[in-house]
Amino acid sequence: MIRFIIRRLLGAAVVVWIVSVVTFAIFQLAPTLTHQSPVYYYIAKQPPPQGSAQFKELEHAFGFDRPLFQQYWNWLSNIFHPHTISNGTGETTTCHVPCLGYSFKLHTPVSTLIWQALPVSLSLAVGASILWLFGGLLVGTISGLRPGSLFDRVGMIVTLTAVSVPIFFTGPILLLLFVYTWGWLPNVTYAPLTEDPLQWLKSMILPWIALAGAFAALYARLTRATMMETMSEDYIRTARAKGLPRRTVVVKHGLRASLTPIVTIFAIDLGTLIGAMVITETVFNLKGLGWLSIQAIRTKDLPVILGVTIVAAIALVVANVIADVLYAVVDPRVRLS
Amino acid sequence: MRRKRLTVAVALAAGGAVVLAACSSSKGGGGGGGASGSNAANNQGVSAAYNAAVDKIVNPSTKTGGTLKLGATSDADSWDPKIAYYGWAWNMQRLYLRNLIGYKVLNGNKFELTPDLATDMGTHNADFTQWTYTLKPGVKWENGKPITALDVKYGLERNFASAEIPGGPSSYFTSGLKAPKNYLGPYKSGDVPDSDIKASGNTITINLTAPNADFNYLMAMGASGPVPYKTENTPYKGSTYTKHPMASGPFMFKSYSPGKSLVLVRNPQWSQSTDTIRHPLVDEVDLTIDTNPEDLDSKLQSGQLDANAAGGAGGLTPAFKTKVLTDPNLKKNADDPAAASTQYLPVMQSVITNVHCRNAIFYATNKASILNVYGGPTSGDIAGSMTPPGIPGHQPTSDYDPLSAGSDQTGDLTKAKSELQACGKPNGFNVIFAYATPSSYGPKVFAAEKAALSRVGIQLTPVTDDSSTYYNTFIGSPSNIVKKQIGMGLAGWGADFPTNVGFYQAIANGNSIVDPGNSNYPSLNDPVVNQLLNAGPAGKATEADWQKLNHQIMDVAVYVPLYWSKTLYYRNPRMTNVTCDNALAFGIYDFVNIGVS
Repeated sequence: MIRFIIRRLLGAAVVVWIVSVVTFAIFQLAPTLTHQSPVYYYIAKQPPPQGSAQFKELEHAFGFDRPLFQQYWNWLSNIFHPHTISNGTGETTTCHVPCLGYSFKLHTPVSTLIWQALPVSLSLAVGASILWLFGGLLVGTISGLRPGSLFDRVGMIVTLTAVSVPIFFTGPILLLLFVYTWGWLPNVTYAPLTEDPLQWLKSMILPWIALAGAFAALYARLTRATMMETMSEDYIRTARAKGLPRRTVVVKHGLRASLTPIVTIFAIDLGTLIGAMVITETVFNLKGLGWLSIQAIRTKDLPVILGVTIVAAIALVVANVIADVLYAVVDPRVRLS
Repeated sequence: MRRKRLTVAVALAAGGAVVLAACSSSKGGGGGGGASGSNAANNQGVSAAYNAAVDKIVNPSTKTGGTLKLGATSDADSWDPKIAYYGWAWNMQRLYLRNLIGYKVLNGNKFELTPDLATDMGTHNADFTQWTYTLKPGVKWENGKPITALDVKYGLERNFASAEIPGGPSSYFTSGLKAPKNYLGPYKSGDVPDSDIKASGNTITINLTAPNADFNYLMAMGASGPVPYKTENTPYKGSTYTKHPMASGPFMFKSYSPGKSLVLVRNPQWSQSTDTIRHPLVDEVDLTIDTNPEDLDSKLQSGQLDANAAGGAGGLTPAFKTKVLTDPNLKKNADDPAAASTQYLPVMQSVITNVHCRNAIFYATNKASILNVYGGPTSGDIAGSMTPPGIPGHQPTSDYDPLSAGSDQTGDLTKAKSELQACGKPNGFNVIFAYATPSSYGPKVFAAEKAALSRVGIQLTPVTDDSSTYYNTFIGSPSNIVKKQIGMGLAGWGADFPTNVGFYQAIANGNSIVDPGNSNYPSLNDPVVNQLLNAGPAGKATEADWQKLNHQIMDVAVYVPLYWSKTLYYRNPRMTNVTCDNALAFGIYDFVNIGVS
């Protein structure tokens, strides 16, 4: 098992490295395609004229006059040692480890912005995942045990509707009903879990439902299908014949077999989750990483965009490693091979 | 078959519920807004009614304490008074900053200036080229240090530092104040000599490049305000000064998270005895940035927020506006003040060089549909020319509408087509139209204009830029306009101060063109316009001259006037002492004097 985990971690490290190279290259090459020096996107204002001495100084300070792979190496090594960044007109700052750059638009280090946004996004992602996993599994299990019943029909329709309707529609509809019209919940105003748990909960419920709704259907249908298939297996009949309580049969034997495809799909969905989170955060005005990336894209704040992309990519890879490990936990055949 | 009917029934029920919810009338957010609170602060006080705050004080009260909760859909362009150009940022400055001169009366038929940090309205020489002010004793910064004349001089000098701190209404100062040639501001070039600006003790003498009888209006602007000499608010200095400007007003920065929130608390170093303009009542002002405008309006309605500090760039969202205008309980908490402000389409003469081609755009524009985009008649009155009401030289559209879009303002296609003939493009031409995002209005105005102009063969293609950079570096850069071949833009302009120079200097005078940070988007540089604008400050212009200015600007055909702005605002009934700030901020409420009941 340990060897399995180590193999997976090494693989993940390689993937993270490749992602960082590709992302960096895209962000360094893209400005040149628009005939605008990258300097403009880093200092957040018009740089001095292209031929001038100050411009060359700035390019040199940011390293844009070196070959691409050297720029990448500089950026990578700079993450791990503090250095100063200047916009050439009086604003200079010291970037502390881990140094992901500095946003001259918001006058804040990129790592600070990400650190502030992370709890919001984590609250959203973790809460929604739990909701859709539990919800999907529950609905799927019951539907799978009673195929063709009223619960099955309604359950499948509801989950299918939820996944077909885009979040920028379900989100405002949820707000319209629960906040503006019926007033059951207050306006979404995020408060950290550690400061005001009740406010945190009340604010996160609707975003969780909107986000979970977009994913739950797949899990419900998958669980339903595997459940139906598993429950017709011979060993299930044997277990029931042995006199095991229904719950043990369903959960320990039936559900357990259904879990492996669930974990696989979940790992893949994490990628989609990041995209869906951007929409959800914007709709509900939650100031997480998705919201941060949209603000940065709108204001062309390149260091922030680069920082958020790398962090998101790393998070995704790590999550996939965890999913792989869970897969091995659930299915012993995987770890032994 | 049973299955299918059930499915259909469920779908219908779900759809029906949503439709019903959307159409149901809102719970009245008005609450107890009718009461006029405790003792009237003055005899202009009235109770809540539609348009009551436009020129009176609603809900007078002397009750102190509480927190004022404001919202905005985006951050201010800057909290640094040198850089800030948004009207609402100027209105917010009344909370934490004071200038030599300030506005005592912000609305009604005539705005009134009064000394703020200065002891009087200043003394000047015979031809208005030299002004001297003395600071009141006992005025202090939030750190306890006294505000000195040297701080005022330093604040004026910062207007020249366009490399370090670009933006803002600096052109008034860089062209108006005497300074050494090629002076680049205090960071690069040190101080200007005493022969230009002399600061000794509490007295400052300012020399101007040309006569300016209206100089006190400039000294009422945030960009003229003092900044602590050289130290600013260490470590916040230069381009980071915006994160915590040193306060001289009744409130000061407690915490600021760019793009997210600002919290202001009372400044113990401010003393009421030195201030006749501000009578603050609350202990704290919280500004939250909520990028979803509909969400912000719902918080207004439910009372979670007291007001929209930014006025919403057009007031309330269309959905909330409809609700407010049709529900009497909500309408009595709303105001629709007029402003000395025009919404227009700049037509770039560097890209569309033939004046007849430009005239065609004027004639074909459907102004009525564009006004509808902004919410219809409560949002403004269709304009036939650029000078808005309140500024001398203004003429109602019924009197003067030279490049008219027809009697119903939907477009005069006949005249448009004959102008196209005259410019040699009878079948029309292509134009790139730039607008700022995010915006509820930009895309819709583009769509309306595209539909209108395509009727005569002028085809529009869009290009967009983020609103935090659109005005400064996108259409605010003449070189960028030529580079990207931008033919038209969308902008609004309010008078920086209520005179012709205040309205037109930055957008129509050839001497205000800069790159970037340009507000004269079409690079208008007409000798007649320049001469009239430069003569004004000597106090030598007449009403006829101002009319001539208005007419000349229309003749050059670089600004399609759309409408003169009116904006619908909503006030939370728990706010007391509410009145509109028309002088600085298009009628947004004057928050520094507001209390909460």
